[in-house]
Amino acid sequence: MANEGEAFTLWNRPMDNWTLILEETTVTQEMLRESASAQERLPPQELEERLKPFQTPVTEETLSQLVV
Amino acid sequence: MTNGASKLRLHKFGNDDPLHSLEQTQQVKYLIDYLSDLNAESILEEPNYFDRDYLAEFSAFYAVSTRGYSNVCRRIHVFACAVNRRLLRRASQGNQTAIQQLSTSYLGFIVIRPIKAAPLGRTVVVWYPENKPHTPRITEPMRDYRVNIAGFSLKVKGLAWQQQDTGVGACATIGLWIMLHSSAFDDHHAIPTTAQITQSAHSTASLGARVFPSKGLTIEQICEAIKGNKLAPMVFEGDVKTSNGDVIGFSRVRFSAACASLIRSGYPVLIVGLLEGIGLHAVCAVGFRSSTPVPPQNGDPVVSQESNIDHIYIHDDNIGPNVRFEIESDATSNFVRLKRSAPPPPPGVNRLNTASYPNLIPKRLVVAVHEDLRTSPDQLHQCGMMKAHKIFSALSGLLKSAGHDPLPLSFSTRFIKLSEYIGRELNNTLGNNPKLLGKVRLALWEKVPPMSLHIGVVRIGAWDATPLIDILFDTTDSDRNHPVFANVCYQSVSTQLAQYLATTEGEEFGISVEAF
Repeated sequence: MANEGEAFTLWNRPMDNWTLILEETTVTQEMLRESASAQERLPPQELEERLKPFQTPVTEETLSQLVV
Repeated sequence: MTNGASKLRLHKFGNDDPLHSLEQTQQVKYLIDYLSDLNAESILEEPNYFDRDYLAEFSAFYAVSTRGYSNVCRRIHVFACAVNRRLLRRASQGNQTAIQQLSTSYLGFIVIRPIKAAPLGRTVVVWYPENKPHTPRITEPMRDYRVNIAGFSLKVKGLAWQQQDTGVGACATIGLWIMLHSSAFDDHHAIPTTAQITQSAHSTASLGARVFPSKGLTIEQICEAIKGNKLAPMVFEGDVKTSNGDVIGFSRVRFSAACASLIRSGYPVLIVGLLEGIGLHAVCAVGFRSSTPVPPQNGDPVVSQESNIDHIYIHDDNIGPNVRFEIESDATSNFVRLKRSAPPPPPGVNRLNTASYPNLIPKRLVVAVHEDLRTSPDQLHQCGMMKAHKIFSALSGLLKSAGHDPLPLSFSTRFIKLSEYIGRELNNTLGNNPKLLGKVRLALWEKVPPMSLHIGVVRIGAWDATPLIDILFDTTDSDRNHPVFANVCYQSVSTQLAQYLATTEGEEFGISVEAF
């Protein structure tokens, strides 16, 4: 799949222009269970690395900083 | 000296008008350039205008100054059409054609205070026309400002800006004042004046510092001022640090995700940062140019849509309103640097404001949000990232089994009032199919347990921007407990994936609503 034609955002792509995924297949829970071995996963430590920036605490020094 | 009656004055936009006649500071030049780009032609001047903000500043500070400041301002209205006395007279007679002509060409207003060093008071100007409707500017904090002149009224949509006077307000005060003008707080409070903000910042966190003249506020005082207005402060510290823990700045992904999520939610963001070569400075981010999802990066098949944002729009009291800055990453340490990036002038137009402006390195962000909103954007982003990874993983197995390549995903997060999600946002997404739209709205109303006033929305989709699922989070609990109310599935595969992950991995998705 490619970003073809007009580029939209997740919030405004018109619904008559959506890419239908596995449109021709009726996906069942059984199919999902059977396909588990083919799943791709980011290693947990790599995911942790990507989450880290969003776990930055606020320090005391920050709160007392004077903004002129 | 008493204030006397005076006629409304009309000026051709140019050298002799009241704006061009001010001392040509960076702010004045910026406004002249901005209005020139919008084809300004005329200015209507109200020589006597009592401005609520200036009156509060006057009462708190200027009234007791020996200089003898006046309590009256001027207000100028700018139009992209020729305005003459006849048109003005017809509008004041109630002639709808005349009012319409003035309304459609109205570019906004500027209050000119009788303070020589900082004359630019409350200023609201329209945005530039939107030339990229598919990746629009997101300016959710904007509101309507209505002005009344001689019996007719005009409307301008924007967000107020003003120059700091350092008597009553420094840049942090102005940033806070801009934040509290946001449309997100329309049903919450009367907008405080700069004098009230400075006073509320000092009410519990002064520690001996004098209130006026205001030399600046600490971040603690900014938070106290926010709380004093019955809102809740959120503070974010840069995640790029030196080896001994000093903050260098923000990584691009975190800065962009936080700003986009907050601005999309209607919350302007106070950016406290280092103006390179000068010192600390505070500005207020009021908009950004949205971006399309990006292809997988650094081997990660799940990417935040907002990591691709290039431009952010800032109210900077050193420059003016809606100033465009480019988001750059430092080549070595990978922290964000905001570089002023004015759009090119129209052919044949020369910019007045050509002075270079130092880059700003954001180090802290401060935001005012509703008190009932307890979830931080950082937490919502993490939840979005984890859910998107789970969905990607399950979907990749399914696609591979069916002989297809894995599909990279993108996600975006925001806070929104429940009523606006069900009303405006779902209409934007499903409005082309009214029958489906009605079905989804009724299902959310009738099948899902009561939801909070503000919800956190994580939208996950393919990287061609096709939405797959919205996950609706409760925002009234702590960051540790982060319950999900419901999910809205835009394709049947999304419903199956959510159900599969709920049963096999205990992943929380809430009540499933089918939107296909």
